[in-house]
Amino acid sequence: MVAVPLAGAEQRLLHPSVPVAFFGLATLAHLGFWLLLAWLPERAAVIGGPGPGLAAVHMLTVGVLAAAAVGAVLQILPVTTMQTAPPLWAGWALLVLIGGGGTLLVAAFLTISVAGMIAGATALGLGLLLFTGLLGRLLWKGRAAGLPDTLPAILGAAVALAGVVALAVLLAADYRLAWLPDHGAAAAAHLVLAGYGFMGLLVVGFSHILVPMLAVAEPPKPRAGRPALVLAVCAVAAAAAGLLGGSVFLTALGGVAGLVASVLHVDTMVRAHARRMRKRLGPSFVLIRVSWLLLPLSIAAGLGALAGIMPPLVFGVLLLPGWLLTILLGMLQRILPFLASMNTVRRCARPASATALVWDAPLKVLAVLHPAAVALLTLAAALDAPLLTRMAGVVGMAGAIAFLIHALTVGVRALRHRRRVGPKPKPARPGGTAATAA
Amino acid sequence: MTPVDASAATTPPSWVADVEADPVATVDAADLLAQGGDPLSTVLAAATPVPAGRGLVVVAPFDPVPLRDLLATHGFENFSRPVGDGRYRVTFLRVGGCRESVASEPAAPAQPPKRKFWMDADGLHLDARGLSAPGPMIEILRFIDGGAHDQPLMVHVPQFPVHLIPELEERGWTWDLLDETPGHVILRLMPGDA
Repeated sequence: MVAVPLAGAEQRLLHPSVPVAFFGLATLAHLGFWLLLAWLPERAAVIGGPGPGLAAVHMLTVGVLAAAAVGAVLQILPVTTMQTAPPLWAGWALLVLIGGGGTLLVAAFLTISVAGMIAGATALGLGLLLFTGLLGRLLWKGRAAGLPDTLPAILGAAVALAGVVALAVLLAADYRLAWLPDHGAAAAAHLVLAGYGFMGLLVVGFSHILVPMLAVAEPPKPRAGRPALVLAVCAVAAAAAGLLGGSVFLTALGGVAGLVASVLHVDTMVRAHARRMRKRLGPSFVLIRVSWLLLPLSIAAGLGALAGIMPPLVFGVLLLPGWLLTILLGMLQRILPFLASMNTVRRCARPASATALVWDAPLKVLAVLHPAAVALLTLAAALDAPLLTRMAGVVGMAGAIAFLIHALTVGVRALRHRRRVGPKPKPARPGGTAATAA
Repeated sequence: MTPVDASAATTPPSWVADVEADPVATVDAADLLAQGGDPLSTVLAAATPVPAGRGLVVVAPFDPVPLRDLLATHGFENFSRPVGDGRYRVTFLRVGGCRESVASEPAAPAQPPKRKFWMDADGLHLDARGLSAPGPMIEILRFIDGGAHDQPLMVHVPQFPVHLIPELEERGWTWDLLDETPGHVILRLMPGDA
């Protein structure tokens, strides 16, 4: 594929305040999630709600996963498809609706306020629908860029997100209207659509870009991910339909198809990163590799829960703080300094190297503590042991603090760099050369 | 390897008025991009039948250096000037002797330009533009890792390579940013012991 940079790199970058706000929200909610588990281990690590259990789940899914996904997608998609980034107002509208709605929803789950749940879910739903609209526009305008393994997956994620929002509003209203025949089944379908549909397909799609980029490797051949993607979409649809329709067979069929799809996807990624030119993969790939293990394990645990031989909480742990949070932390820790470096290209007299913006120590700590916290939480879910949940919460909090230190270090070092080298000089003539000798 | 480029002149050459008066084609790359089209293929297709002595006009949302380089290899001179609102108007003239060679070729879709090396007064140049990411980074690292060159290397890339820089530093190479225009960034890479 020939890539001709027709949109300037500067136009493809969001205003820095937008990714900073979304990633900042995700970083703080990450800490809040583990804090809630450490604080209320008996009530936060449970299935069902409302209560601290649903508050913890939504602190993670909305506060961390969705917030980071929105910030990352709105930045990465314009860069990879070479089009103008969404405007500042759209970023802040999303932040108010998703951040505000999500905060209200989590608070309402904690205090068991039905009115708060409905209001929070509605605001959050509006924010996610606005995001879906922006996503659709970016996909449509970026379709000429090719990316046959990424754009269809993101389209699938956008469709799944619409389903997630619809079910979320129905579930919230059900606390007042009691109109759903099976609240638990609808909640399970909501989880599958959100975890494997929206977030999962985003991960699958962007992995085809980010894994080769982060490992410095030739990307997989175009359409190499198509079988896994088609199977994954069918799997999510079957599992969600099976749960909503009360068909264990259809749900199990979706689970098995998802398991096969996950193995195909992980195989493609492992092969791609095996061809890497990067000499040291670093702590980020410790987490990314762990996440590749957790993806099929989470689906296997889901099938085990469906068969009644595995606590459903184990499935939830392996899916949310397991696969999704682990791969997010692995990728986000590398995206942050690269994004900051790209902004120094735009704003500073001399660009900053991403390496110069990173302090390795917190990332090494995170690479040990996060998997340890997930392992402890899985064990706690399997054994129904609140003490282990509390330990997982404490270890996870320490990991979250390490990630917070990493994020702050990147920001502080980027600002220091700008103060040291000064702002970027304006071009000498309109559109002319802005040469900056080092 | 420097393209025939009349843009350095402050006044347009005389042929610009001739081409502008009756261009074989006028392509608005900004419109094509907004519609999701592929401006490069469109411009190449429009340029193929242009006879010697005639030309075409391209309007782009920035100075399209890669396109100017590419058409220079097809025998076109060019003159580029800003026309306001960040847009550029580039006039291309096909000079004599190239019509047959290009016109005899089928109007094939755009092919990735080959990797370009050339020596200049400041050293070896490597043009890694025209590849989709992470292609430029991989091309440069592959060349460096090959170990055949231990002198300063000037690389031409489509944008500042934020992902390449840590890899260079990991290999003990240093870098300077020499020039930066939309779609064309030039870095000087130096091995640690150079």
